[in-house]
Amino acid sequence: MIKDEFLQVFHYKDLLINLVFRDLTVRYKRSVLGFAWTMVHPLINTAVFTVVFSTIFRFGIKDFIIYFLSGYQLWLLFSQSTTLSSRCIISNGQLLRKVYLPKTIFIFSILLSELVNFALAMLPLLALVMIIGNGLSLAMLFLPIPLIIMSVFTLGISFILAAATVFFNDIMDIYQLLLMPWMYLTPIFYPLEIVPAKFLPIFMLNPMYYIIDCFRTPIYLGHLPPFMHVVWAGLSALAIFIVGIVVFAKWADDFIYYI
Amino acid sequence: MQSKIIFQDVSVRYRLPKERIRTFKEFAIKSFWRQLEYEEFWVLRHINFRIDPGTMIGIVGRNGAGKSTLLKLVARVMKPVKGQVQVNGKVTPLLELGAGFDFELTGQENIYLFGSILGISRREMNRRMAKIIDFSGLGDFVDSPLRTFSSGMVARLGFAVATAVDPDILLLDEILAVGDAGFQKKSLEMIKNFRRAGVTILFVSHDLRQIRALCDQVIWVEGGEVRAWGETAKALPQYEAFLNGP
Repeated sequence: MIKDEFLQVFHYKDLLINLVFRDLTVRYKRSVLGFAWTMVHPLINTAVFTVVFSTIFRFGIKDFIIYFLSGYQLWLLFSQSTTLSSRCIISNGQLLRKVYLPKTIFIFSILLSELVNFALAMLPLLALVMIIGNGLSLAMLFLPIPLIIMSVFTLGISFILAAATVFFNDIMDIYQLLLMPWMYLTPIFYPLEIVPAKFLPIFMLNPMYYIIDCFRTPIYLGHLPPFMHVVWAGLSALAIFIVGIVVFAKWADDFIYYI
Repeated sequence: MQSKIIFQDVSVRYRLPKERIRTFKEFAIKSFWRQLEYEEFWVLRHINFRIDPGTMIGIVGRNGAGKSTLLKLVARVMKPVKGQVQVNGKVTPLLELGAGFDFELTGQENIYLFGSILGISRREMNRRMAKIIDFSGLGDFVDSPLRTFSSGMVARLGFAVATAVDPDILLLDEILAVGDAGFQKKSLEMIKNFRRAGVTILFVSHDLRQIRALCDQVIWVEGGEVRAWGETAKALPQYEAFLNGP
């Protein structure tokens, strides 16, 4: 099962490349602004959040825009990939009824094209870091590690969601409902320090906190994140990834009856 | 000589909730109150047959008889609940409109995409590109987005790709029903070429005239069971008699 649905993806790498290419061209081909869209969306969001959180709710964060963007971009990578992935088996159902494919290939292709978007969206952030932030630092060489951790975590959640959505239509809606509080309970546009002490344990259970912290610290503070944060981020991503693989592999044979 | 496809006592069961529960909310409520009942339905029962290399085999039967499920087993998109399906060789299904194609991509980009769905590398596809474009008869249209194509043109493209990838086993599901007369003639010509080249072909159709003209053997499926399997001249009349019967 794990061979059929996961390892076979390597044999279909040309399909993987074509799917990523398709995602990117289809998304941008017909829009006037083209690839610029990738940057416009977070820019507008950032403008709104910056106004709201640096003038109305003031947490006294220095260089708020860098603090915010370095976390929010990574959150977007996660929330968009998982949202798109949850429908991918259903939307490719017509194809999967006809021809054998390792079904996780759609999930991998969604993550890859979101990573391309993410890389593009990082460019304005890096420019800001150089202009108003601490400038580039050696610690930023560490960034691929939290990015890989986030990708593994995203894949795990995507496997679970994609499998569950095949059987139940409303998983998508339930998930969208959960994403909102999850984002607000993750220190993305406020610092962890303002959280009242009695709620701290809840915040510390959130794997997203550690993953985002590992990514943000090198950009925002210019030094490496605490070692234990890396460990917790990595372990929780790995755990979710393994659960995702087991769930998907267990249910994959039954998809055909529902798609 | 090793058979290309062997079905050994194959059974497929659909196990679906009695009421079609499609939301998790309902599922959670019903399973909490233990109201979930499943309905079992055997779509295929004790199917046995083997297909030798180079045979063109027609699969006939009324709607809902289990023909599509049979093809799904051969294409490996479904696994049997009981019994064994053995397929020796590369299976190439012929995809229809919508499946596997993307309407925003150009004809040529779709050819690459479709090729990679069938597991053919980009290098291989480059080698075959000229032949595919030629057979599709699309000319300069290959550089236009697929949404500008007529449905006949999409069908031609699908056929052109599937036929250019050297299939071992070709699955044709009601495929000659599309396209204009010229394309149908060309497709029939192509199918005959494949037969000469020794490709094993599974041909599902309601057009008994075509089955008689093309197929060496016929499998008649009815109610999930094989009612007849043999030379076309022997097996097909049984199905015809059944259709015309009382």
